[in-house]
Amino acid sequence: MKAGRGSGSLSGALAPAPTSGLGAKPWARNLLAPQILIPGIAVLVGVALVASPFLATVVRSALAGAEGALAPSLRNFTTLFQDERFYSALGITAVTGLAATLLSCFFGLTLAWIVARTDTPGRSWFDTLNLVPFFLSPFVGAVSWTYLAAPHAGLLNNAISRYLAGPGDLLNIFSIGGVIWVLALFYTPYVYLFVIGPMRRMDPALEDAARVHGAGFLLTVRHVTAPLMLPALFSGALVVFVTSAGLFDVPLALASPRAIPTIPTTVYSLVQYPSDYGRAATIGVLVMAITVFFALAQRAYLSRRSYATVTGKGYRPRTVQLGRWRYATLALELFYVLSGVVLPMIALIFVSLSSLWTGWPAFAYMTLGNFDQVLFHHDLARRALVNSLIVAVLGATIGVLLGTLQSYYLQRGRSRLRTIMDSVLSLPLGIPGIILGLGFLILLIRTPLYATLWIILIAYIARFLPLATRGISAMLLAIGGDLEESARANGASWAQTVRVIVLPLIKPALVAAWLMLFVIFIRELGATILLYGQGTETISVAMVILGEQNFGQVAALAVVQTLMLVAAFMLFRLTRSSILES
Amino acid sequence: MKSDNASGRDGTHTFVEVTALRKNFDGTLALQGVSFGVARGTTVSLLGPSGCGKTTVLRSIAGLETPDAGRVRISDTVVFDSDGGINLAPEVRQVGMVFQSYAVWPHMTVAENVGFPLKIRRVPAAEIESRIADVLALVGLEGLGARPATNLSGGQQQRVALARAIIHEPRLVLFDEPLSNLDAKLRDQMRTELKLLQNRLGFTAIYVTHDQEEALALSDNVVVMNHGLVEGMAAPRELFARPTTPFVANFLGFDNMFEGTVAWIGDAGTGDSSPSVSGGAGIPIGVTVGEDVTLRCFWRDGAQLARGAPVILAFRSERVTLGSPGGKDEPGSNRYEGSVEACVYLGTCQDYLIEAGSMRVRAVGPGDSTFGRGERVAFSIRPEDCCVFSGGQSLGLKGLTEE
Repeated sequence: MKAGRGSGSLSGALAPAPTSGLGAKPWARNLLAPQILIPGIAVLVGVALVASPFLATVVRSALAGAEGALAPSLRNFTTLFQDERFYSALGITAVTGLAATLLSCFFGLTLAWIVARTDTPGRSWFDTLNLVPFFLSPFVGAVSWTYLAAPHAGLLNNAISRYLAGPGDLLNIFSIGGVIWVLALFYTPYVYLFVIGPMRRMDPALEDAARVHGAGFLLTVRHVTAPLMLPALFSGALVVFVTSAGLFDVPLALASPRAIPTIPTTVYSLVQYPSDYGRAATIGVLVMAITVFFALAQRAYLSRRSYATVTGKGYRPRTVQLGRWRYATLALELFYVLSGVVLPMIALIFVSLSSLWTGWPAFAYMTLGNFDQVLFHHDLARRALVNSLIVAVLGATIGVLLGTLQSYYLQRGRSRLRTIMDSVLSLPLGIPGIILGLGFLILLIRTPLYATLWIILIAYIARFLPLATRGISAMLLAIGGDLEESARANGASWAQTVRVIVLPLIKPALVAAWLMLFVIFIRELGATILLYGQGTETISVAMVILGEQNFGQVAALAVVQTLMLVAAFMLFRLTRSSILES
Repeated sequence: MKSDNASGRDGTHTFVEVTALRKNFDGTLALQGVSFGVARGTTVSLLGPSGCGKTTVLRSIAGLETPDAGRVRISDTVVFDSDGGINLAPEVRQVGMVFQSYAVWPHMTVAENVGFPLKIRRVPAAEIESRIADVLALVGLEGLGARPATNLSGGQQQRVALARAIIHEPRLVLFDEPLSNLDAKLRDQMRTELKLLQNRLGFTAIYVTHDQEEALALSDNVVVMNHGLVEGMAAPRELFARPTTPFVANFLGFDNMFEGTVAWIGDAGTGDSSPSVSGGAGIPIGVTVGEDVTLRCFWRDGAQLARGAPVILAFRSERVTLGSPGGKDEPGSNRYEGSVEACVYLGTCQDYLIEAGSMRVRAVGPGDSTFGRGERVAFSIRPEDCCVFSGGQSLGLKGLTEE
């Protein structure tokens, strides 16, 4: 690196000064230079994707009256605030979000500690297994848990009544507790990912110093380890709270069947006939305001704790010898992997292979007919598979393209707006998919885009583009600007530099971002449910539609979707290990 | 075993006693039986190249590492004994420690960092406060107590780590390469300050370093380690002048090392027949290096030596005296002529590489010496500046060139 830089600046000194453009004004020439113009356009597209649904929602919330005779009014807000059902939905959503956050913090922190810092057997396997739910669909997870823990019909309930002589309705997944449980299982990997990095990178001498100077194991955890983990844990908790409270999939599968109101399902039903867009938009505005508040709170919190990010140096973390306790940690790991992955998958496979589901596997009903139907005969299911693949491949490609350009602007641009843009562009991360979908529905319902695959594609990109931008930004930041400057100094144009230097170097991040977007788009439900039309159903939407008719086909479709996600996950693991090797 | 020399010391006067420490890391022997002692109020340095096991020894004394076998006693407490099944936790060993990375806690202020050992020991808050003020003044950080610890320079963080290690007046302070992360100028300054502080407070200290100057400057005794073994232990002056093994010699700057054979023993060779003139501690011998050069030096080992036996001859480039060729040879002055092969000007001095027959000698001349490349030059080495080791130890030399 040093040598490259040296030779670059040397030949840079020898190269002729760049020739100035003929006659053009300096500022205009600067703006039209490709390295400014192209990333700039990508950023403007990003801002438009954030701002337009946001503004549409705000405007619609301030319009009341009959369709066709809308007038500016605050009536939507006043009626909403007098509605008791709204408050109960708000309360239930807050409680489920908070409880799911606490539970996933417990799991995520403990599992990260087990993997990073203890001698629990099978740690390296669990490092991968703990992340599997991150790639699975929470909707499929919730549906699978109904096969496990529906009263009198779930596998676990039946097992309890058969073998333990317990009641057949001990577990009731159709409850607030059920929603919390499934949310916690699926958001644990988020917390895990947030804390395992700092846990691995932490200088072990920080803990050693506490031990040597008189603190025992527990006091060291209290005074040193825990406070050092807190910023990462708190960041993770905020993200989990905002996203889990706004998730539509799980309440739809577990709360709606018992008419338990939540905010996402309320928005959904407000858009169904007889629809009340004004009230839906009002809820949307409130949710967006809360999301922005949390995003700002997180930023403020982290900026006061700069040490959260100043770790590094690749220390070898010291493992704690657990002795007999390592069977307890192993049991917790197994419990999580069983609950989050293995049991739901087993139940899902049983149901998908049954022509008739009675809550217990029966070989008499075993069949491949559901798969045959879903893959070769059922029009809706086949259409949904094709639509999902189109949207996922196209969306991931466009997303990576825009994300690359945006991160180039954020990391290499010289604009003074960069920090503001960074905040603006990452706003959609916290906004629930169904709220953003509502925004695009209000915005585009009168346009030809409505009920096409395009509107779904736009909503997906708007909602998840920041994930790609963040991943690629991190990689650009890590490789630094020297290498590009060196290429420029050696006479390469900007386009050549990007093609020959930048893209090859960030390729692992591009592949990872593509796979991540693919996974998310294949399973996304919240943003889709308000935007699909006849002929543009996706896999998740098809599962919702089929859910009322045929258990077996839903399960078969879920298995097919899960196989796609698992394939993407395996590819992701491969690229991640190749990133580590390079 | 070499380490037996060290463990043979009288145990009653030693404050810290490390006996036959062994440790295996994933199949590699990090420590292969390390023993040494530290007298009360003195500083012992563990000196050696990276990977020699010195830090493992220190961490074993602190209780941060569990050796496979051996015994560690601090004062009258046995803190580790593999035979007795004793292994005290780090927090009850009552030591202070300064880490290489400083290990200053980033989420605490300077005062919170420094006061931690007292807080953990439930010392009353008022007393903690006054002792923090005292110790911060001692390390030159007056008035910085309220600062966040990350808001300090490297040198200041080092002082925080030092203050934290001594505030609870531990009976033993352990230093793990504390100065290695500082730049050269600050390192010299901190070295002096550390010495003054130790003189003033009189704590017993064990100091791990790979820097020979640090070891010589700060300690009363230096333990040189290599490949998990103690290569030698001596007071700094003795160690510097009379290293006991080729490894120690090379590590301490004997940059001329030659394999040779004994040409003569006793009074042969020159007219000088009185070995006592040159310090009395050795038999004069002649060592032939290459085909033609025979140097006069002293055999101090005491072991039997036969004519023709392989030996290793070592001397420092600074001890080589340069002169114009053609002058008169004093008897026994080891004066030879050669030609300058390379010459590097360093300001106050110049490094020379001189070819004399099959020998290539490194020499340091004054900055104003003017021997040019290819010129003839005379050089001489005083016999008492030469060290001779029996040739069976050449293995140690081999291991060294890999470093």
